[in-house]
Amino acid sequence: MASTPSPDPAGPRDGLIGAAPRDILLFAARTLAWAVLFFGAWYVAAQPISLATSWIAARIVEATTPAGSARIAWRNDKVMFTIPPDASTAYRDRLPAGMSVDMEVNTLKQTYGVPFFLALLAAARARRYAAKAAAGAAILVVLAAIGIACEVAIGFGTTQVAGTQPFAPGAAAGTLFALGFQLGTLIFPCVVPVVLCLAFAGPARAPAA
Amino acid sequence: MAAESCNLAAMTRFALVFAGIVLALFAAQLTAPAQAWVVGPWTDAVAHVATWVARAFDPAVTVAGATLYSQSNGFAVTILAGCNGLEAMIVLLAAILAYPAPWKHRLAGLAGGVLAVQLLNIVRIVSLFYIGQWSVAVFEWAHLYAWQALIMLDALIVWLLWLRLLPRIPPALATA
Repeated sequence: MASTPSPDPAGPRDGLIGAAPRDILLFAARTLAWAVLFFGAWYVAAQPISLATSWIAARIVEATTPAGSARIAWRNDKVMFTIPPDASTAYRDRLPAGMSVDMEVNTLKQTYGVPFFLALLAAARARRYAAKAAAGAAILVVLAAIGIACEVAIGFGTTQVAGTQPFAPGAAAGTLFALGFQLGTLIFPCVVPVVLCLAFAGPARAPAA
Repeated sequence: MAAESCNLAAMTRFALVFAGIVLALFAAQLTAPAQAWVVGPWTDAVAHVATWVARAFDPAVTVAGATLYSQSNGFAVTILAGCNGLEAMIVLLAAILAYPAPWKHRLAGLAGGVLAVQLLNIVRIVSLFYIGQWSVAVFEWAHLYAWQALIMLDALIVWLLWLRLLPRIPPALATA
């Protein structure tokens, strides 16, 4: 039996990877269109998204720094973190009772990856969109929380309370927090959505004969 | 089954190499020598090109270091880390290097990618310069969220188009 050449000169390909140039440009156009919708919805829902992400971030801060029970509150489109030193630090440094470090964080810097990812996934016309969107958004929220936690930890580690510094991270920890903050604002929200979209887009439909 | 495991192994290898290059270059560009010898001069160069473009229709724009300044109303923007296009270039470079391709095609992809990312980055800087003069709130929104995503979408589109232009791997080699 004579073999029939593939209608696609580049051979069989998967998902967005290897799509025809016209399809790639259409994908870009659809992403822009969906982005208007998802970024708008994200901005409207900024408070619950930010508070949920910040709640996770507060737990990370408690686990990685000498912080007591961290509290969060929504204020002026930002999240206010109130970080008390933990009991042993307060005792060691003889800090007055009720002392805490307050920090305002614009958490939208870290969470805009969620609408970006949803727009990419919608534009890629992925199958089982809802499940993939939920899984990807959950991953992005956790990564955003890590970035926020690093930003808060940096603030906690550079703020003095009653003339003493309750948290003074060492060089390695300070570098890790700085790197986490940079990744949280510059890489996680814009690169991870692209990676997740490529992973979730699924196999492309076979080119029409 | 063998093809599937081969595909999974190739994808895993790509993901690991990609993440490794991104993390290594990203950490490297945060170091003091890289900031002094690469990031700083690159950012200044981006500011000068953006000023040159803006001057084509607004002679009141001037530049000092990495700061664009309007002589007509005093508005100024300073290009910082995250606004110089280096992060998008690192991501694109990592994606191109992590994908198995001939070096000739990789270098062509890198050249085209740098050009595409930086062209859009110049558009971003010039647009932000004028958006900021119009509305600080819109400037913040465009600067912190919208343009970040658009630059990365640009890098993704360049990479997808580059993949399409790669020569077809013979099936015998692809499964080897």
